[in-house]
Amino acid sequence: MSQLSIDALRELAPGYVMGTLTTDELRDFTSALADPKLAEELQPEIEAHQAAAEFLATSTTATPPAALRQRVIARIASEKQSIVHLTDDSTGIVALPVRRAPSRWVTGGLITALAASVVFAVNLRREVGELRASLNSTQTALTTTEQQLQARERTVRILTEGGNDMVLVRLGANENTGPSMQVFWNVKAGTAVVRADGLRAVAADRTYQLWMIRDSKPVSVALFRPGADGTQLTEVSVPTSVQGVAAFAVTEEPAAGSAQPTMTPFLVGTVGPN
Amino acid sequence: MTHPTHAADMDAADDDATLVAAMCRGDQGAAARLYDRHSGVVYGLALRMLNEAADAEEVALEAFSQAWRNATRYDASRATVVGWLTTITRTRALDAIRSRKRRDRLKAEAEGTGEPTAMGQGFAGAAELVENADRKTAVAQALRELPDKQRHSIELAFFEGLTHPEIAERLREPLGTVKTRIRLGMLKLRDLLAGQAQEQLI
Repeated sequence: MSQLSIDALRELAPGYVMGTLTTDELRDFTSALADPKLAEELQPEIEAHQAAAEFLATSTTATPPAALRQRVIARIASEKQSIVHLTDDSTGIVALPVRRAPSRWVTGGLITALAASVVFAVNLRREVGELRASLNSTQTALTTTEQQLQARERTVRILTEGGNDMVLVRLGANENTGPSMQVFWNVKAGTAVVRADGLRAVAADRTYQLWMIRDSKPVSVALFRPGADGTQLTEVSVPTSVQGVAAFAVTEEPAAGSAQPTMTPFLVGTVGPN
Repeated sequence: MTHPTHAADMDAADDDATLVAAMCRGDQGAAARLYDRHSGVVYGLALRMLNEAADAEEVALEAFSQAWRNATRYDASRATVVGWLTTITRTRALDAIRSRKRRDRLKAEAEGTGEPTAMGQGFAGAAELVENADRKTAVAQALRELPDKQRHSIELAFFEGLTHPEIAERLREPLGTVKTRIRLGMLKLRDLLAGQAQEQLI
């Protein structure tokens, strides 16, 4: 079940519809949708954003190149469809030609065959319905997994493509116990991967907030909540220069985050020379 | 799901559903008619997102091809046909954007510039490419009624596929502000456009 409040989840709904949630946001939102009560509350919100998204998507038209039509038709002709679809009128009932009045035995047999056909058709329709529902469910799971894989791919890219422009900032006490955090800052890309360990769970109306101390002022970088094991791996946007950035710090804040820290940071790490 | 509701759209939606049903039976002519009906929207959306005609053409090709392959997966209770088509198109365009970002970053590294690559060429050029459609006018008018920051945040998310943290960084705004702004903007946009659709019915 999601730890986020319903208001926080509502704020993720547009990104869910637009496919722009981060890995952690997507995890929180899909986890909430697995809860029937939350799903029911979120459904109207999702539908409203889908409607707005459809308006936006269809607001811009342009005439495609003339050759595109032929390419599409050629592609379609060369491709097989994924599933053989049963037409709506496929009842499974076969009409038999009748030339003369049938005997009682034949009539009885036909009625039995007809009844069997109807039962078969009803069962077939039910099975098709179940298969369609299962397919939709699998498709949703596949979409979620694809989005999670894309997010993981982004994370790996940030870590591996930084080269000499990677800056590592460690937040936390020197001892091996208690919470700690590492910020892997890919300066060239302007993104960072944040890894936290040992964080205790926060109440539903609270969140952790990561700050960057830039030009002696705290700048909010991200809100995050640890998983059940106290760890958190997330991707955040950061500047493409370390100039003026002295440190990173973490505080606990209300669920929507704060414009300024409301407590003394319990994790601090200074940005040293590259 | 709430969809555009004026009468012409409802008739069109019925015809679209018939075409998709025919596609499910392997009717390639129905796929061609669906292309004729919606290629302008699909290509226009791809062009708006990618700002590159060749890339937009490939995305449109892939989108119609995917719609053909997966016609049986279309669920009328979840989206109109045009909503389904544009969702496929956006997903394909976002894949292209992310792939382009990767390519640009590698190229920058190889050239040693290290400069982050800006996405697209902005929105000004796209205006020259669009057709003067009623829907476009209605959406443009609705967008104009949104505060600038709300509209800009929505455009960055919808057309450039930026995440909340990326938008917050781009606009130098708190993350929570960006999330709230996008949500309220989308809800207002839906209300404005639904209201306009109702007026056309009266």
